[in-house]
Amino acid sequence: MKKTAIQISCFRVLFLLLLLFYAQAAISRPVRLIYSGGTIPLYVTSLTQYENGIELANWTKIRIVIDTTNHKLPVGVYTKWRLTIYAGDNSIISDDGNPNLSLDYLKLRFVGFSANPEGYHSFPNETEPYSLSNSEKIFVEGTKLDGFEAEFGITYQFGVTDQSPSLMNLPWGFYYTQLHIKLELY
Amino acid sequence: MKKLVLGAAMLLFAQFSFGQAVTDQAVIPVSVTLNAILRLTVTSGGNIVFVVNTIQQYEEGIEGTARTTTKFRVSSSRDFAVTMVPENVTHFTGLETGNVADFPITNVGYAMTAGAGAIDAATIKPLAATNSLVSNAAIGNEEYSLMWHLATSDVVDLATASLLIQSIPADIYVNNMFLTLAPQ
Repeated sequence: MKKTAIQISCFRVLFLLLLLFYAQAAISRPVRLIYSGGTIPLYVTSLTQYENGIELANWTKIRIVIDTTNHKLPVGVYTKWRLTIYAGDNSIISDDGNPNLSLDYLKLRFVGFSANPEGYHSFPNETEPYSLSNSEKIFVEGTKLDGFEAEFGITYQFGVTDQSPSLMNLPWGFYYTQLHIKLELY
Repeated sequence: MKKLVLGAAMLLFAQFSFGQAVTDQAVIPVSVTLNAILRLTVTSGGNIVFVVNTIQQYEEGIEGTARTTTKFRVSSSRDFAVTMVPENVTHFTGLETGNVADFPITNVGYAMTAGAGAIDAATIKPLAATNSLVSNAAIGNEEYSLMWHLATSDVVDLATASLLIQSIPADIYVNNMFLTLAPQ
């Protein structure tokens, strides 16, 4: 009877320890990507929108935090960080059997990029607008790993004619893809 | 008990390694909905009337004018075609007598006189069972003109088939025309 009570106590202690470790892991990762905005809904419902395209201004909000301090990472392995933004498919896929749409229809613009501290990041690719591809493409990268934060918003432009093909004569229907945003040390 | 403690310890170590992940990522769904835009609106000339009251008109027909012109507008997000089909595809119907045998649709002619992609623009043709009026790329708010003619030399052979020669009984002959806009 006494032995069983001790065993139950051990279970409780172990369970609490597990919870603590999970909680610790959740709040102190060396890289964190926080985003809001959810699904990107692009509805083309009028002829004006077919002619001029549509825009979702400042729709997705991104915050990145990089801080390897107090993390036992392998020495000399990680020297930089990068944020890649890319499409999950090589086109915007039709759900109705129509031809898929080129990724060229969808462009990204970045709003209010602010970094702390400044001067430790760069944009290796054109960002105004930022074209999507199916392979990992670097949006922003940097070298400061021991305490860096940045925030920005993303504006989505679909079929805005000075940047992409016209939407006129595209088959009606539903199309989809996924936007991958990945923050990593390397 | 020892096995249990060992298992928990392994879990803890595994978690410790997992906690050092050097990537974080988000996957955001993108959805695109393209709704159909396909509109045809008759803006004027929705009721065309020809009144034949002289022998000359029986002999030579009545030329089309602005007064006998139907105008319609098209907005389409797809390449499109406009076709016209008479309700009664062989003859007009006499309102007074119900005559459906003496006034063939070929006595009436038409010509597309304005609008992008008008087929055989300005060419007067007798009415057929199916008439292709427009074939054009996607466009917004484009105005088309369709001028009507009655039994003129461009519509019938006046030497053999003028209204006078056809000896059509007096009546008010009517027919409805269906304009159909469809994506190509």
